[in-house]
Amino acid sequence: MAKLTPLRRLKDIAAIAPIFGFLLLIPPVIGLFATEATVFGAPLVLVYLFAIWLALILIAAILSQRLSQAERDDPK
Amino acid sequence: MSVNVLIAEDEQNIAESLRFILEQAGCDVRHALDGEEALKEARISTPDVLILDVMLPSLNGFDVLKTIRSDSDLTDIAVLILTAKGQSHDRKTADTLGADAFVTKPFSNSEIVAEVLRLGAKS
Amino acid sequence: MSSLNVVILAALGYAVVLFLVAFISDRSTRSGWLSSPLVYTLSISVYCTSWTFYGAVGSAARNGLEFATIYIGPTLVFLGFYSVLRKLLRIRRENNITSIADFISSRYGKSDLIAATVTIIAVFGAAPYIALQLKAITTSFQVIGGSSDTVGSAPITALWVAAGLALFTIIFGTRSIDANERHYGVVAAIAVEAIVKLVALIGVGLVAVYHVADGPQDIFNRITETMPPPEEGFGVRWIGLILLSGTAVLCLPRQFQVTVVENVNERHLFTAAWLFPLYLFLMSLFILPIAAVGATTLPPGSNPDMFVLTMPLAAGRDDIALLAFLGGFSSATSMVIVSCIALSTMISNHIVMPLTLRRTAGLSVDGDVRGLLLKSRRIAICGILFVGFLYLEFGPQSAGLASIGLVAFLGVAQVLPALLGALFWPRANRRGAMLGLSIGFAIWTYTLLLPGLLADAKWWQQIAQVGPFGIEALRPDALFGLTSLDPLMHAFFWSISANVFFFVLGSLSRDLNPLEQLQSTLFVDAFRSGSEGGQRLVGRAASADTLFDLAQRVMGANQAYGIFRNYAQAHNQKAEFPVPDDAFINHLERRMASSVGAASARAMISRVAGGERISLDELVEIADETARLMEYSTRIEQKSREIEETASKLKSANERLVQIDAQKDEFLSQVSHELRTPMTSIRSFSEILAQNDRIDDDKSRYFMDIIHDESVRLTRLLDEILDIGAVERGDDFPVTLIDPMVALKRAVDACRGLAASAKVTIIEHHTDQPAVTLANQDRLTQVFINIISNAIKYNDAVKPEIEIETTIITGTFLTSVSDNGSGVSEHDATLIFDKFSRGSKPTNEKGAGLGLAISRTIARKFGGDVVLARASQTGAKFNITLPIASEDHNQTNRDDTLYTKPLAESV
Repeated sequence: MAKLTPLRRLKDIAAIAPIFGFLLLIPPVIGLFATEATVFGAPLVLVYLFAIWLALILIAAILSQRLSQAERDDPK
Repeated sequence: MSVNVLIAEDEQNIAESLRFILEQAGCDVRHALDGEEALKEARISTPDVLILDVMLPSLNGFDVLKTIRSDSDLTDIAVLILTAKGQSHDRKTADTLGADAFVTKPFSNSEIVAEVLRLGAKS
Repeated sequence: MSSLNVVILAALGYAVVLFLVAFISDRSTRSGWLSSPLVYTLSISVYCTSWTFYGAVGSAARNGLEFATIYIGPTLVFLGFYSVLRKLLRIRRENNITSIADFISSRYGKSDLIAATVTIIAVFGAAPYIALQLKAITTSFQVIGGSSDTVGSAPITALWVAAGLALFTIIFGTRSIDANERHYGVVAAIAVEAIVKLVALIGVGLVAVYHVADGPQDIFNRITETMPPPEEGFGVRWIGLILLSGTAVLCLPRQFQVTVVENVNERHLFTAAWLFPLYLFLMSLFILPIAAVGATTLPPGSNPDMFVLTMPLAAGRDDIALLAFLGGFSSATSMVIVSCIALSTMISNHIVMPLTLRRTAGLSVDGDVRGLLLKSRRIAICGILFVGFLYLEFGPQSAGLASIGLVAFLGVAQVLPALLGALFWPRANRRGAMLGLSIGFAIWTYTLLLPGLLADAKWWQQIAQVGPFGIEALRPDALFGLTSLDPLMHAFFWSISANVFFFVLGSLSRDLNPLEQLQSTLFVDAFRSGSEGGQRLVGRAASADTLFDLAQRVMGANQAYGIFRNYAQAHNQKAEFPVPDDAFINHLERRMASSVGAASARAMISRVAGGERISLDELVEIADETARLMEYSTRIEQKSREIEETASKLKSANERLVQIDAQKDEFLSQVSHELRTPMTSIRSFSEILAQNDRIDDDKSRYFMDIIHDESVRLTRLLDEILDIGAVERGDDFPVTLIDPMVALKRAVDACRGLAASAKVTIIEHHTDQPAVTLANQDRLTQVFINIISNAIKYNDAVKPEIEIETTIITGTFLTSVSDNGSGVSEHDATLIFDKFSRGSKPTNEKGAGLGLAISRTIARKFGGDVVLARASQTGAKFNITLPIASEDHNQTNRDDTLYTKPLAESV
């Protein structure tokens, strides 16, 4: 079989990323953070939710930029 | 003493011309129309010289020659191969089988008479 | 308190601005920022309706973080844009998809039934949703303008708003019917509204955080104070809502419209992939703060759905409240506009058009289709808004904003299994899609839609409590005894489970028909097949004029003419209209599909061009990757086999050349021998005559006769050799339609002299059926003469006779020539057709033995043959066969080349 091209690898990451994000944002994982604890006065789960959310947006940005680049380099 | 000649030739006209010129030259001439007849005649008359056409019905000239050379009674007959094909491989076959002379058709009368007399003198 | 006049003026002014933006954008299509990824992303934010704008805060005040699920779902879908959305865009572009209903129906064999079903589901889901927007606008009017008495009655406001929206949508949404022509004006207006929504919400948020509360720390405290305990709320409902919102962002007709149909450039998706989630993130950022501040500052009992307005009002920030009002107005109007466009397209293409086509069944498509479509879309827009208005006025009043939105989400979610199947499961078929959709839709209606609609109806309450006909297991809110889930999740579980189950079951229950198979390949392998992909498999025919007539009714004369002209030019065809081959008909169907949808386009094209004839064999070739790979390797195999074949052909050709060369040598040697034999006699006798003067006259005359005979023999021999060469090349006898009986009669006449002198009797039996054959008269006569004269010459019977008989047997003219001589010996039978062979029988005749060989060669040139039919001792029989001429003249070109017969035996 052919070697894994950057595009191929990125495609796989792009397919898995949403599932990964979904798992982070549903119970039981999110349940771990649903406690009385606070971060700088804000409820932990609130901070966790928005932080993961922002991280996912960042990943989306990086992925789309890389994929766009890889598509240009790898004209099929 | 006259030379005994047997002509093995299926073409009537050719045989007739040969008989005429050889008798003129003082030979004693017999004629056979095909290969088997030629062998039979050879055993009866033991000719000095056999003029043998290659393309004979029933048994071709080369087969006749082969039989003559392997038969102690006949092996002394001088054989002159006469052929219309005249290709080099025919001549080679004739040599290997032990022919004494090789003449292609059409022949020159004087040449074939001289050849027959030469062979007849040898025997 | 801002005065009512200011609010009305602001709203009207804003509306005028939107009209202007739309108007200008429509004029300057495709220019600059309008086709930028930013505008594309902003248009997708039509996802955030007034439900989000007002309702999210309400939801946050009631259920804490739950509102976030509605945004997390879409975030995840856009994060995975490369696998699903990109494929949707590609398929839409290549198949000119006009809506989600069109997409689904197109994939499942261009079925109009499926398109209609999806349309109905979408309309059912959208009506309450649109009512929700109207409600949000009228409520917000009441809130910001003071009490309802001063504003005037709510229904009047709602009616005015609905009318305005209808007008806007009709003006900017139904100018063209071609999905390829984007609604630039609408998209631009929506982008502007998206910005207004975001700015307004952030504005309200900032007021909440910094004006009312004392900065973030205070906000966090208020949030902790008002939020339900964090341990609650992360259960099945949380997961279900994320899945539901992710589904909605794909399947809602308006989302499909802006994300997929209105997309100008696939690459814009790379920006939207992160920018749209970021937009959602920003929209959500201040929801909790606003909810917390509203809950802690406003009097108890205030409607949390209106906190966005009432909170800044209470804080004395009328300007921000006005901005918030415009934000909510924007959310509602953009949603209504896009929904109306999407739904009206679906209704006109998938309900009105098929019905029209059905009504005119059997006839050609007549009338102005384009006009009909536009009219039906305009009526549909008014109808949708009117139904929304009716729902608002007469529907159930109890439901909160959020729950109406979620009901709609689950409705369109019924499309998801069919949609994902369309993209990724090659075996998914129409039956599966139809079953899944309708059963899912039915369960959704029964368990979620009706309970909401009929909440106040006595008879329904009865059913809800004890089940229909008293069957407890069928209670709409506890199907089969499932009571552990809330109504939404309950409906979600049952409808989607049943949908998926029947979708899979239906798909597996039968094979795909050819059209479904073709579409399946086009969709599932969207990135693999070329743009013209499998279309080559479809074969149809119609005249260019008929097609043009149809196209101009659908798209208008100008556009239709453009399509025909451009296609002809693009394919280097000189004529004005292109050659209506399969490729063009497919091209035209796809262009028409962009106006009326795949199913209707196919139905219309089929009217004039007949149905597709899709070859199953060809389909198998493209069915899947394996098949394709197999085909590829088969091709390679075939290639190498072809090379081997060529090599072996070359080899055999070479062998044949060698053989022919040997035959040529043999032939020359034979010729030489045959020539030398008479020559020998001639030379010998002429020498005898020349050298002997004393030969008597008789003898010399005899010798001269021999010379003469042999010369004649020599001449005849030369003639025959030349003749056989000519016959084998076949160069000197043109064939024409002749009567073989004429040639035979001539031959028999020619032989009568010979027969008389040999005392041979000729007996003839002839058929009276007429026959013609493709042959050459003279050559055929030659063949007959040869056979008949042989029969005469070689007949050694005491009372010699020959019999000539003609018959016609299955397309063959058969001539038999038999004699009563001693026949042909077994040995001779195998040789007589060879060159230079003569029978071993003694004869006076001295030919070269070429006669039969020549005759057979000639007969074979005519497609016939000469064979020895009987070789027994009671006489020989020769059969000459000739094919009776039909239309097929090719038979006569049998290519018998020189030296084909082995000559070896011909001693």
